[in-house]
Amino acid sequence: MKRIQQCKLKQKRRGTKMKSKQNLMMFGLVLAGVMMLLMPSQVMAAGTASGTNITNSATLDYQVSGVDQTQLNSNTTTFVVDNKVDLTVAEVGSANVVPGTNDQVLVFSITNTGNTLQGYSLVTTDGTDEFDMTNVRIYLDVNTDGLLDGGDTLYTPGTNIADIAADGSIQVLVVADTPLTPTNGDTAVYNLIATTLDFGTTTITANDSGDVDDPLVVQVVWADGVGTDDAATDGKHSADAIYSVASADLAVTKTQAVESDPINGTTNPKAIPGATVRYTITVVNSGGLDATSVELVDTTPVNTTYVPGSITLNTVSKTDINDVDEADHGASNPGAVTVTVATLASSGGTATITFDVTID
Amino acid sequence: MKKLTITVSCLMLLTFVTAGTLWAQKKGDIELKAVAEIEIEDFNAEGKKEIKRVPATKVVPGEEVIYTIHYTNSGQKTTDNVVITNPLPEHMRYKDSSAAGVGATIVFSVDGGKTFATPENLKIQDALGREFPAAASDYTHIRWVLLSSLPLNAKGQVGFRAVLE
Repeated sequence: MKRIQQCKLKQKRRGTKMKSKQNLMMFGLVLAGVMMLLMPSQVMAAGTASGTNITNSATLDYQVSGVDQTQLNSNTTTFVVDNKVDLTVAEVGSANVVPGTNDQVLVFSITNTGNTLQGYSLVTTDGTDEFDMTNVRIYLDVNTDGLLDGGDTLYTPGTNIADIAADGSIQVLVVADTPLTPTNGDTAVYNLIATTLDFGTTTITANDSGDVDDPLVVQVVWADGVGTDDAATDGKHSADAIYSVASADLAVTKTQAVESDPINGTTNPKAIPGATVRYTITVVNSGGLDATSVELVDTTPVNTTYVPGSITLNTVSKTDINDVDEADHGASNPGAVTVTVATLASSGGTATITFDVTID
Repeated sequence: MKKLTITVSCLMLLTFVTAGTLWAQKKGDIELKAVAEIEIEDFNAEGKKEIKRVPATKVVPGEEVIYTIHYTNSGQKTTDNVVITNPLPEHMRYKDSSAAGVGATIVFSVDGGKTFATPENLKIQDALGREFPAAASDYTHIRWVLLSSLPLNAKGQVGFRAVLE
């Protein structure tokens, strides 16, 4: 009887309250009224671990003819905590990519929000988008830095990427190469789907919800929600992330205007032999990234003669020789105006180039 | 980790543990039977949905369990001042206002069973010594104090609900 009562005493202490009770006993503190020290909860978000036995019993005290009798105990009820399978896949980071670049990374997290240690298998699926990346593969982000580095391990499809304890999480990278074809603003969307496995195996955890109860055996209940490419209560979860093409997007326009002719001068000049014609070339970068080393080459049209010293870049006069002023005539490219713009800023950066010719 | 150790050692000591609800313990003059159940939806004979109570066997975190204690005066004398005390099981959180018992005053403890009071008189203290009204999640024990004596063969039941954390 004593042993049983001892056991009950231990059971009366709930998690954190046990600590406070020990403190009280150690310091001989007597609390007035019905107060106790409030301590932070130790219950995990995932819930009580599966396999835990939950027992309950009651005691009864009574008197007969005013005399206290021996305390009575009820039986003890018990049930086992079952496996509540739940998980969350979430996007941690999407990527801006430049066409033709390899090993571009999308970052995902996988969290075991159930109450049991589980393994997970992963797969990527294509979302609705304008283009697809190539060479798509998955890595475990071992140092969780969101980058593909030497310590990260390549995932083999169909295997268990990692065992994750209840409330634990891992970080995963989807890595792919960018083709040259997509243009600024195009997107490639990928879903990462995680399927719950029995820990340490490649066996998909089965759902026992429809099976007959077995009070002494831990059974499995799928409790997961719906993700971007899976259903609720299917033991899976998913999220998507996006590769967005950010590139320079250049547009070149060329106009011409007759500046003067030998007869009319600058008043309503006409395009007759001897007239001076000014070409204006405008380059605009409407893309999301700066364009660098932009080189414009314009061959002097047939039947015209280049007017020496007439090159301007953004209204600044440039020399004809191949010097440091980024423009020349006939040097870099014979018979042509060559202008180099080091950086053409994104979102509307403009370079305006003019040069004059006379009509032969 | 510690919690698991305690639970296991209790099981080792209580050699008569069996699943679900089960048999009552005959000691002294009053029989006590503790029962743990959950509610499930089922279809009755007319094909309509109904709520049924079944023994609690497979319970996942978040589910509600209905605990009932049946008592019977199976002795030879009237018993007085009957007090039934149920410590909240570990990992179970008392569901507010769910304690029931006809003919009993229901009180609770938040200090591990040392003192009991009605809900509005229960207070807890934080680390700084500030007092707050206790919430259902702070309860450690439930106690039913029967208001009248139990004559021979009188019986009744008390109960409460708790949620598995």
